[in-house]
Amino acid sequence: MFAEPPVAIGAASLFQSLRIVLQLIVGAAISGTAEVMHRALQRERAQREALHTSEERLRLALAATDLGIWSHEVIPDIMRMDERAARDFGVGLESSLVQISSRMHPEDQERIRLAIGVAHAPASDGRYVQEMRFCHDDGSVHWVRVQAQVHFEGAGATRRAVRVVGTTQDITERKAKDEKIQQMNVELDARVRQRTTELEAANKELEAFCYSVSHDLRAPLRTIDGFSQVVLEDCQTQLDAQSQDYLRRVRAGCQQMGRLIDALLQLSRVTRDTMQREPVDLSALAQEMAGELQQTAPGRVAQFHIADGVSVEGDSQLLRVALWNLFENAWKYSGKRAETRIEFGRQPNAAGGALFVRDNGSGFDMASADKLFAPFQRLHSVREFPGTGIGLALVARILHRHGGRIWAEAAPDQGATFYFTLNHGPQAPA
Amino acid sequence: MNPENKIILLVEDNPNDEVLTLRALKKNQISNPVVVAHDGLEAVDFLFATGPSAGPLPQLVLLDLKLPKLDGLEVLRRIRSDPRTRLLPVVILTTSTEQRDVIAGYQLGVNSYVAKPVDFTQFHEAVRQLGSYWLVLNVAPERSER
Repeated sequence: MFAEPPVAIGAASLFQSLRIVLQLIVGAAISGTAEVMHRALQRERAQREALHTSEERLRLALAATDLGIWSHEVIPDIMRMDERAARDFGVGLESSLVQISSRMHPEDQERIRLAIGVAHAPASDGRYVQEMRFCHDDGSVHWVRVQAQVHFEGAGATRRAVRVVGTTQDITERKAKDEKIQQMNVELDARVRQRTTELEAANKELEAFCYSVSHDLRAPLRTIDGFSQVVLEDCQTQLDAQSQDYLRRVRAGCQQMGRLIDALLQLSRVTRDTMQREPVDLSALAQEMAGELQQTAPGRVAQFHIADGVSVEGDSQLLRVALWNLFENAWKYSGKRAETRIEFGRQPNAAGGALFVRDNGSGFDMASADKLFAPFQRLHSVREFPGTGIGLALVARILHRHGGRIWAEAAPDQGATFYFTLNHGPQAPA
Repeated sequence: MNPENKIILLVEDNPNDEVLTLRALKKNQISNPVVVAHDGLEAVDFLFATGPSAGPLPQLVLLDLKLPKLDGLEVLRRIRSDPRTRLLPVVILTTSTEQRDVIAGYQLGVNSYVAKPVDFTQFHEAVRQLGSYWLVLNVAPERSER
């Protein structure tokens, strides 16, 4: 660093010596300073490295969160930002609030200007979070969520915003999804409303149809039946036996059709009427029905085995109709036995605790069991066993309305068992 | 009272049902005079003496529901809201067994609701019972309100 001091004598050499000493002193001083500076430099490098590491970590964290970062010097209006924020705003790394505002979607500008004004106000806590659209050079529009913290200087009335730091996040996709969900909700709402209207209209139409059937379809039948009877009465002497038989067939046909119309109306009524849930003692109902059936044929030998304490929750009117149809069925199809045997109870082993009505009647082939519960399907001829083919359809519909179901087990000539459930279970608390 | 004075007002628009009802009445030896009104307006005209078919008050009204011009329930409402006819025995005799008709009928103060059976033998029996109950057994109020 310094030259070797030359050896000299005399004033000149004294001066030379002084210069050397001076040089040595200064050199030492300079050399000490260099030591200090060297250490400071090392410290600064370490700090810079630490800062760099910390910045790197922040950048990684921001990258992981899709966040851009920016800072804003309020006066003069300078905004500095990282690449991500620049991309989100659609500007360069150094920009200004004025420039960024000009890239903002016109519909958002006024709202954001007001929000910034509020955040910059002297009494503000300086936080704001806003979502806004930016129009990029490529013509695309991006939704950006901006979070910011304003830093103030001064106090009271002189407190003023000097710097703002914040983040950006491109939320275009989320917004699109939100919009799609909202749109789908609106569409779903509209569809539900439309379906409800259609359903209501269909119900009203069905009701009007049933009302009309109830009034208008039976009247012509009464005319046919009535005047057939009038002819039978008034022209008895002129009509031979065969003609009288034909007229009786006309009447029988009318009456069967009358029964069918009644059964159809009952079927539709079972669907339309509102249900009222209450505890229903099925054992008591079954006992009552056994008595009624026995009364229709006091001479018929019949045994009824009815389990005690079978109570369910449901509509008492509808359940009465259902149980009556099952009992009437059992009674009808066991009519040709020397002794009728009808059982009602709860299956002991079934997990669901299915209820059942069992008879020792003519039964049926299980191959046609799927037809049992469809309206107007009959497994026996009217000549063999009279009926409308509505009874079991009625029972099935009533049980479905209660959230339950019905199924059957039978074999030809081996009797039949009808099992059924209600959704609250046979032992539901009252 | 002489049965000739006990008029039956039959309100019926269906000509076949009219013939069958009149026949059933006759065959059941119900000899009371029968006035037939073929729509609701004729019935009201007869009862309230406002038109060509005006007449003395009947002993019994057999009222169909589905009628042209004025339906049966409206006829019933007018009968019950007029002091002259407020207590008049009215029996709805109709095809419908719809609960809404039955309930509406009773709400308007009908005395009885009878569904006309399809089976004429049963219809015949229903008319016989109606005649013997409403024209013989039943004690109707004196027409003090007229």
